Amino acid sequence: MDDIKKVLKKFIIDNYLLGSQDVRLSDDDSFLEQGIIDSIGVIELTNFIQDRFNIKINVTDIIPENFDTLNNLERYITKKLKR
Amino acid sequence: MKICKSCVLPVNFPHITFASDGACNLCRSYKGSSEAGRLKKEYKDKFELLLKKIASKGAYDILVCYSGGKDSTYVLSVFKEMYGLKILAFTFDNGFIPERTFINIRNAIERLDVDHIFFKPRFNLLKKIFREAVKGFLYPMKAMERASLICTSCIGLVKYTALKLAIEKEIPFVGFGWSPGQAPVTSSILKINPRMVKSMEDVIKRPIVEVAGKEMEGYFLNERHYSKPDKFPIYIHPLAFLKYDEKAILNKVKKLGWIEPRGLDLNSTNCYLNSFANAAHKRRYGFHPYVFEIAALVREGCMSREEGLRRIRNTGDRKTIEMVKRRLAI
Ligand SMILES: [Zn+2]
Repeated sequence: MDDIKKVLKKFIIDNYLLGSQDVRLSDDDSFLEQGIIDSIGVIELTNFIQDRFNIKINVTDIIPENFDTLNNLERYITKKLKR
Repeated sequence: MKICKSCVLPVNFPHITFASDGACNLCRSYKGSSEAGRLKKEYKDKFELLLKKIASKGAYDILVCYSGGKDSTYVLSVFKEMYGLKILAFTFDNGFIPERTFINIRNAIERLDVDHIFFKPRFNLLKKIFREAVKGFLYPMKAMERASLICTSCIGLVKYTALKLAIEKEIPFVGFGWSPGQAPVTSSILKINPRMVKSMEDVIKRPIVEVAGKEMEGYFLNERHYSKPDKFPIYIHPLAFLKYDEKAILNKVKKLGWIEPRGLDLNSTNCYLNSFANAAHKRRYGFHPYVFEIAALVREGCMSREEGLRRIRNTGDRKTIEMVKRRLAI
């Protein structure tokens, strides 16, 4: 479980916070509200998740409830992996 | 100031780190141009396939956000001449468009034979927004890394007025002239869930309404738009999957009657506000608002490092900056 979050966190920090060691990104921080991820970032994140976890993500799934925080994303990916 | 030896990112850019050899972390993790070339081909094919699948039922295939600058003029020609699309070009007049740009716009749309509309919001409202944006207001801090807050406000308004228009006119694609440094190839074809759009819109809309008043709500989407999720368009950024060669772009647009306006800084070919916005950003945050984009162009081989440095060191036209200040009463 922790692995998913770790992988996601690393991707987000590397790509949107430029790999900074000193950023605090907690599991419930909203990517959208903090401006960490915009429309372009969302698509890059989706592509990354599809490749890394080998799952297919429909546009209808890319909603804030699934994509806005580390916790939401982890929950969503876990659900997809179980199917 | 220490600057990356490969691109142009300075040491004071947020979150940047340097290795002992003087290269920044983005340059160190850059995967190289062969991977970029493969992706460009993949996304170009993807767009061409999409075009076959999604034929417009209405009068237009694509709404092109057309600033009148060199990149969007070029993109207009790409959609018309390379892809043969039915185009509605859309220009948002922020009150700072050079006279020459109006001529450039007229020349290009007549020579390319496309429909076009101007939209000019009330200047008093825009003035309030730009005046506050320059003070560094309300957006998430992250926003200031990729553009000045004036640009972020203006582009936010462009994006949502264009989106509204595309939904209302049932136009399936919206095209932009972002450079590959502004939009990476993996996001060159963008289909976003409307509920996600709503959250993103909020990030821009809330502060704008706060500073310029409830009247601003009308410039954004409302429930009528959100009740038609199947009418939301797909965003296309073709310069991310085509070859981005500034010389070739300039050659092409000159043939369309495009002449570079005077009094602009090196990073804009259509907006007087830019020099002022850049100077204010640099003063406040210590780095140039275009530096992230230019660094990406240098990294990807679309621009020489020397040219990149020239652009971020350029301070713009003093007279233009004074004119902008007068118009904004700053
Ligand atoms: Zn670098």
